[in-house]
Amino acid sequence: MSVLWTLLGMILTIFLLLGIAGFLVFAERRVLALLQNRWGPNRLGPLGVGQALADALKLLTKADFLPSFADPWLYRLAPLLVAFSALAAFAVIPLSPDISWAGDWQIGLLFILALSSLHVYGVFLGGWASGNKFALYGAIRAVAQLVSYELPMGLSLLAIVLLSGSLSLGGMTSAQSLPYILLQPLGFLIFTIAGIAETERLPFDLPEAESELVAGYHTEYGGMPFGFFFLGEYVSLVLTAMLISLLYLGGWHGPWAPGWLWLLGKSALLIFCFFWLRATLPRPRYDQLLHLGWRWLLPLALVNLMGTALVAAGLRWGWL
Amino acid sequence: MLLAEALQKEFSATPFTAACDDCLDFKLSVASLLPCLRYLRDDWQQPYRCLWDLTAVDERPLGGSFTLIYHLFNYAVAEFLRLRVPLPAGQETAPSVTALFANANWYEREVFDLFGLHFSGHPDLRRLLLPPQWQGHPLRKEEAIRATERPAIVIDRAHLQELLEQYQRSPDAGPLDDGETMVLNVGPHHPGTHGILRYILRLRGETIVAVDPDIGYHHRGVEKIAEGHSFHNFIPYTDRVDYLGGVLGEWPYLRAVEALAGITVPERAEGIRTLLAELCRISSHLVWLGSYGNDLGTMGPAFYAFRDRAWLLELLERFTGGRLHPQFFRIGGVADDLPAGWRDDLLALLQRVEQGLVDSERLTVDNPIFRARTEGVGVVTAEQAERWCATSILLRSTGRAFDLRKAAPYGLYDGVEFTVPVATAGDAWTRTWLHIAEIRESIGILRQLADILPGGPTLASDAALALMPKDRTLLDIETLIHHFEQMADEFGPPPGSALGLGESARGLLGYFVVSDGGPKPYRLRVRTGSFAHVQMITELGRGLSLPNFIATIGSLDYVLADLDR
Repeated sequence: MSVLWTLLGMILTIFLLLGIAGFLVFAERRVLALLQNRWGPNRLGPLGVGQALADALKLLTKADFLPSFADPWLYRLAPLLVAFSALAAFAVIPLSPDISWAGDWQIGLLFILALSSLHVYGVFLGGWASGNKFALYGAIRAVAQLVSYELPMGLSLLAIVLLSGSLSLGGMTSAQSLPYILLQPLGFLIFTIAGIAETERLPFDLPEAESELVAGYHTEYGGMPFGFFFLGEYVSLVLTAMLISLLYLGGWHGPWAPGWLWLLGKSALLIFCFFWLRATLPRPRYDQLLHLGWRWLLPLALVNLMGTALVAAGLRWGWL
Repeated sequence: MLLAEALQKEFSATPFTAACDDCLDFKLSVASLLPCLRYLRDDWQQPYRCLWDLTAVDERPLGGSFTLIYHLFNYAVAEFLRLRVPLPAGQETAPSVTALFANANWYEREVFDLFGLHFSGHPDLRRLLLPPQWQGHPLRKEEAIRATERPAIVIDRAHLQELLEQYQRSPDAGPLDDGETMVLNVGPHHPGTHGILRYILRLRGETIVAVDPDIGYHHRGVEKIAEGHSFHNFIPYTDRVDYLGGVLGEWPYLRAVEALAGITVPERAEGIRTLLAELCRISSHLVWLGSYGNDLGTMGPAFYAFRDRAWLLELLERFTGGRLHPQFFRIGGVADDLPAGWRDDLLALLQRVEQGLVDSERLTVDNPIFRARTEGVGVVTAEQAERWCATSILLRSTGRAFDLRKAAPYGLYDGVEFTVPVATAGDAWTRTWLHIAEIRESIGILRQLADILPGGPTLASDAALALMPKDRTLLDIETLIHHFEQMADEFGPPPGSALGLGESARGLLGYFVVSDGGPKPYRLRVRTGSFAHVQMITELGRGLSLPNFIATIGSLDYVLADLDR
């Protein structure tokens, strides 16, 4: 019986997340419009919120299209991989100490990193299976970018693991009597930059780079297969924002309000900042992006980890 | 005149006196064309290093033959030289000048395409603007002007695949697939090309080894259309050649026609023309600034620039009735006086645009990522600019302060104080900065014009070809008859030819108009900056990576309609 309930709950969570992703597409359009002094979609429903539904309906009702030159299996598999990797990661995200599916799972963080590697496969296969030159370029860029930024991301997370002594997200959040952003400001910065790069959003949307690569790896996609890529992107956006809130901003810790509200509030603020970045910044060049990843973020993340390790060891053995 | 003596003695060129502009003009035999051009380029004391334009006139119905017209340009003294080279009757081949002037390549292909004349020694003589399967050469006089007078164009469905294969081109002589490199079509539909234009690239990794721009997708044949319209009726088309430039396109055309008809434009009309032209220049630069941001992946500048431009278009609408295409200039002046209260409206607008510009500036030239993307990218050297005959901002970014408004002032430009912004780096960032600096200069010009705009009539109604003042046509019969005859296409300017120039936002814009005395232009040639600048990409593009390529072509500030005409 409890298996059935769990299954139902998980399905409900997925729909909730998809709903949030759809809403975020709308929210982003309104926020961007606000930041760029125009209106954005404001006609359908209160504040135009019906636009999210209309967009979803449009994607759902479009013809299922398969280019004659594409590899049919991989072409269909790729968007599912991307959407799956983003959605599955939420299994280990706790909303508060007692609201989560597997928030206390001891390898929660590893699970998330593993899924983010799976995400790379989805993107690459999508670009490669499309049989389009622009998509191929997008896919190559995506792999290079995602792999380059996974390293500093993982290294900055290791420093937190050192501090909290736990690999479960619940444990890492509970350990924060002081938000880790104060102890790990550098790590926070590295993780945030790498996180935006992992979600492939402006200014790090090189794999899509519409003025150069048309639409990058999803050039040949339309309708719901494209919708899955799109949802994947926005679900990862939520995921990244929640991870940053959990790991660096104290997660559910906060006075006067229930913990889950604090977590959601912090995440929403971060998401707003991501929108803001998109509204303002140009896209760096491909080599500049990799340059930033390898020559700055990676060494800094290493230094950060070493420093943290030394301080942690010092505290433990009484050197400090 | 020394040059005239030299040309007469060495190449037995005869001065051509029937032209109506003050451009040096010679008639030359086809045999002495190449030696003469080489002499002018290399040996003359003030060398003419630029081939500014090359075109042809079909004079067979007038009892002549095809005449090739070469316009050479000398940046140093801001002087044009026109060479008319009539081909002997029946001959349809001329020597190619590509060995002397690299940019003759496209001009000769265009003449081949539209006139069917051949150029011996041209490296790659094929159609440029029209599709490869096109029948005929439209600028020949025997070709119909209206599409309805031509046989219908039927696409042969049975051989569609073979037709399409003609478009499967590689950018160089190499094969499409050589196992090492990849041929990539950037366009015809691509967000980075600013319209329907196809760059055929050969890439090794992400580095470009060869580029061939495939143009003509926007070709509407305005030069042929002109031959079917009266001089007045053609004015609206000039707005649309460079659809961002507005009246900047009308002005050179009218300068040519007014030179042909010998009309002196009243001072106030010149003032209003200058005023509108500067407004249109700001509008055009703002569009470019916004869309260039888009090329580099930032959405912000587009909206800030378009906000300012929306105010500007509202003002243009109040002044002229039109927004993108004011079509407000008339032969001999402008259509109407400015509306009451124009001065306050103008000054208020300039204030807003100047303040708004700070936003655009912060989002582009001051942004570190923007700088990283554009500094040292798309560098054009002074030598390249001269060899490809670049003009306007592209030229001024390489250190040469040539601006027609200063070099050969027209309108009221000699009555206002302004500087020509110039820089030496020649890269995309410099060109962005120059656009912003030019907007500031234009604002300064407009502020001065608001104070010094002279009074008086806005139309030279005493001239034969000028429009009659509308309020008098119902009062006296002479004016009415004149108006009627004019509207019924009864007469045109006296026979002759004239080149009208203007500093447009896209480059040095020139209309070369030939009249045979009839009510319609006999031949009209539009020389645009976009055409010259896009041809440069064949050289500039080599060695760039794909992102830098997009940043480079965006920074050239071309408009597709201006490119294909």
